[in-house]
Amino acid sequence: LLTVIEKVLLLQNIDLFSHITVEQLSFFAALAEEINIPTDQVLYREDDPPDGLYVVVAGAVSMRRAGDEIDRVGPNGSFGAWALFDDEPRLTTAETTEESRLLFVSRDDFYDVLADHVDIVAGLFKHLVERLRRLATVVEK
Amino acid sequence: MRSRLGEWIPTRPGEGFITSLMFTYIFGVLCFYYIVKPLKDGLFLANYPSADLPYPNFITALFAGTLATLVFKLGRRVSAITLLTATNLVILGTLLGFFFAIGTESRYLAYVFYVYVQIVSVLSTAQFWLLAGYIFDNQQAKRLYGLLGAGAIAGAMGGSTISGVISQTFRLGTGRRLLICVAICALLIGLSQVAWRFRRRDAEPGRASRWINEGSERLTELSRMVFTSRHLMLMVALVFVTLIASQIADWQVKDALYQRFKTFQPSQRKEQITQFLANLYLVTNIIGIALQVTATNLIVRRFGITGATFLLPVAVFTASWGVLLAPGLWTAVMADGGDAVFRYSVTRAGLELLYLPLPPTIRKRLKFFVDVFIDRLGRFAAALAILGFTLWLAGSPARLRATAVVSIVLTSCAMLICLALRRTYAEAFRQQLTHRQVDLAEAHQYLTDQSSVDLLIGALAGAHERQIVYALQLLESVRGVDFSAQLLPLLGHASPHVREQALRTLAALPPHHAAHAEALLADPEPAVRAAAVEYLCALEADQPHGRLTSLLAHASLDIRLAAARWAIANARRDFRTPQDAIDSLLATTGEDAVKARETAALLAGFLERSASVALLRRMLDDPEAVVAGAAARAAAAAGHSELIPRILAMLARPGLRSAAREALLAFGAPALVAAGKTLSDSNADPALRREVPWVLARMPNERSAAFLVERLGSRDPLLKFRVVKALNRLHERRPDLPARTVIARHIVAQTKSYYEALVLYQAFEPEERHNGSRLLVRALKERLDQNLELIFRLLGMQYPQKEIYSAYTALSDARADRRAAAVEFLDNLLHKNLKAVILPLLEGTSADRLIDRAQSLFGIRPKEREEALQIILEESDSWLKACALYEVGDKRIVALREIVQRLTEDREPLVRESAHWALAHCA
Repeated sequence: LLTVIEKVLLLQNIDLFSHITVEQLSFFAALAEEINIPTDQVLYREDDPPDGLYVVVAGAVSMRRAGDEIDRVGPNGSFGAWALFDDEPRLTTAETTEESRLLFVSRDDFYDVLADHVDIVAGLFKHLVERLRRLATVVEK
Repeated sequence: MRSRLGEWIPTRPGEGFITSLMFTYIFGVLCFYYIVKPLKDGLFLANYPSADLPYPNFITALFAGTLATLVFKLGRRVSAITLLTATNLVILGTLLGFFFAIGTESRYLAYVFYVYVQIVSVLSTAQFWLLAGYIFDNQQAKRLYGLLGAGAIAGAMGGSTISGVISQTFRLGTGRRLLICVAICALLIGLSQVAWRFRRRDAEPGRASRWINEGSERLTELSRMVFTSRHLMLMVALVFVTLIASQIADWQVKDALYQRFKTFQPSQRKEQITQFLANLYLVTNIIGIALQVTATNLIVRRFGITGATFLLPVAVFTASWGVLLAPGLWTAVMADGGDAVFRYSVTRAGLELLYLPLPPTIRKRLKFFVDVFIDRLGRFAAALAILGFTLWLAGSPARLRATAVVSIVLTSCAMLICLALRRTYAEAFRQQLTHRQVDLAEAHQYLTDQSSVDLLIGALAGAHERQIVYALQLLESVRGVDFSAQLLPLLGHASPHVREQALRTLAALPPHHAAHAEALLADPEPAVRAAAVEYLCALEADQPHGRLTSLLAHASLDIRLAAARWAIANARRDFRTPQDAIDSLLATTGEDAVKARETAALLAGFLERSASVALLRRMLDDPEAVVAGAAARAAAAAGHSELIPRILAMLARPGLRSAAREALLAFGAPALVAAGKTLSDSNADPALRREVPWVLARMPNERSAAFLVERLGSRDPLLKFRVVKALNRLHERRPDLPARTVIARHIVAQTKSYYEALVLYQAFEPEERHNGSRLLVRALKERLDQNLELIFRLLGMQYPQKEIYSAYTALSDARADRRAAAVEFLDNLLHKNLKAVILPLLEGTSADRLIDRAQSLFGIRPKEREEALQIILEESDSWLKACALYEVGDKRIVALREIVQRLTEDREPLVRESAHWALAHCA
């Protein structure tokens, strides 16, 4: 099993957490669940309700939309981060292409951590504002 | 008696002394003014004819503003208290000068004294409000400025009494009255010195000069703003014409007095005129304050804006007809007295209402424009008009009649403007309503006026749901107006939000709509049903077994729950719940079981004490958060302090935290002590201790500050961070807490921690490319950043908080000039001892020099990588220990195996887990 520190090392690569300190990441890491998934197993389908964020520890996950693969996520990669904020149904189907080990942070755990450590919210907002700014710049251009 | 007094005096604990000081100050300023005001007129008219009065008024209009500007510009170079003291000393000195010069019988003295009094009155009042701005923040200003206004009225009455009745009775001559003013001035100097010690630490320096800059730079901009809005234009026109009419009425009295006493010897004339005017001011002040207390609200409510603004022009118009038809002293007194009585009571209230529908920024700018420019322009125009007539009709008694005609014309214009304002006000208010910009906190001020209420009632017939809800919210504070015909149909509105708000607004109507609310107990929306319950319960809130009892026995569990929620916040403490009602709720099973237990928990607070405590103790452990939370709230409402430790423990559970916080704050002092002891107990659950600062910060007093300060040296970084944050919040509410000397000590200690962390960080930096050490280096870097934030948070309790915060944000700015400005600012602000330790951290000093600095300042010597790791493993907090353990395992540093072995038995699970991992990798 991964230690909290090892989980932190995985979580720190996620763009959404770029303004969160590694100590704050350890609060998510402590609650993150390690799951082993066999090959060709569907994690969620298009239009499923969002349940949380996944990080690939080992193996690979194919992201498909309307049957077409739009991305393949390998070790250290993550997917489903926006499900932590967004109530809208999943836009893609996620399916393992080989036997995989994943880290999963559920929405409930995510909000429990936020309730305990409101300072984390500032870091998340900072990232979201940065994204909005970038988007505004692109739209202006 | 005490509580009745409390309703009139809106001070809060800690504000009583400074408010009474400022009350005395403004009392002194106005008292001073009303002693010298009739004196200046008496002295002038003893030496010059009334026809000459416009000349000193010209001089005042031209130079009063300029002099005030010059004095305030001095404020850029000196502190506000130096400026204030210097000005008061100059006033005191000149008064003594007048005291000695008064016997010389120089005619020019009367001229100089007249202009002097007018200028000094403007200056003293402006300086008082400047001082008040340094002492009171916006929230305090809203509460306390009304009280200070009462001090001004009392001062005016006191001054008039001294100048009139007392001077007459005790035969006080001009000299003695001037000496009284000298004594008042000396008192004002003393008061300002004491008051200055209470200034807010975040009050911005250069306030006075900023005020001046705003004015001089924005005249064209302000004029453009006024002339592009019909409402603003009419407001300014009303102030302008009534000011001219007021100045004319003032001159008429003085002219009539001069005519009456012109055959007297100058000294006798001076005394007669001074006495007469002093008595006139006293009477008008008394009538004015009586009108303010008894009739102003009534007039505003009954006749609205138009009525409130109409009275002054009508009074002057009528009295001016009297002057025209029977020119003489008493008709002139009626005109001037009418103006004085209404100007500072009903008319002021009406004008304040006219400002209300304006957005706050425009309101502030318009007030400035009116107070500074229109006031001067009005006085100048009035002096010009009077001068024209006195020159044209020199020596003729017809000049009083001629000025009366001008007054009649002006007041007629004013009345027309009032009528036009009614429409523009309604339009401005309607626009505010449409944009939902009316501040709900200010709603009670709007709704003293009938036309505003009518507008809101009209909005209830609109088609927009949100606008209806908004109008209903504003109407909640209306009393004495029956709008049931418009409100009752909304109880059947398609939108549940409208139905819910309509029910809440029903309380504004007389209490005979219970049947309508009862019908809504069956509404499909829970929020509407809850609002119906609240309305019904509130109808008979003062009766122990009123509607509440029947609603608690209602067939619907939702209704019982809503009634129980209302009861916990509002029911009388002697209200009792039958035990069997609670038993039946607790026996409920199935899908309603949780709701039933929540209701039972809320009602348990109304059982007999021992049964109540026993049941609530049990329910605090309920697995459902809503039930345990309800039990906590009920325990607090019932005052069961023996349950505080149980509720305190709930802070560590996220789902229960909100209810526990609410309950602890409701307990007050007993909870503070329990929370403080938990914070001090190093054996208590760390997760619980970290939640305590939040609670203590919201109970700002010496005790909570002491508990928090005690933990400033905590080794748990998260706890320490929360303690400092809590102290920041507490300091905002109580700027005198915590003691500055204590904080100064902790700033130095925190800076030392920064240097210690920096030395450790420098030991690792070259290896940051490697995965493991990157985590440790990142963790150390983040700890350094957190340390710096703590230093600035502590500085915020020692120096102006806002400015320290600005400097802190500027230091992380990408722009070098902003960073340099922040360092420069701190260089000027900080005490030399703090400067020596803090500034090197901010000036971009090289790492090597900082390490040298750490050694010279605190004796911290540089570390090698392995030594740094050892220090972290032995002395740091659990997070850094865990990161260091990862580093040890990743790099297989066998030399540290012994320490790692020891850490496998650490009390923190994170450290134990990391130690096992490291040990396995080192093996």
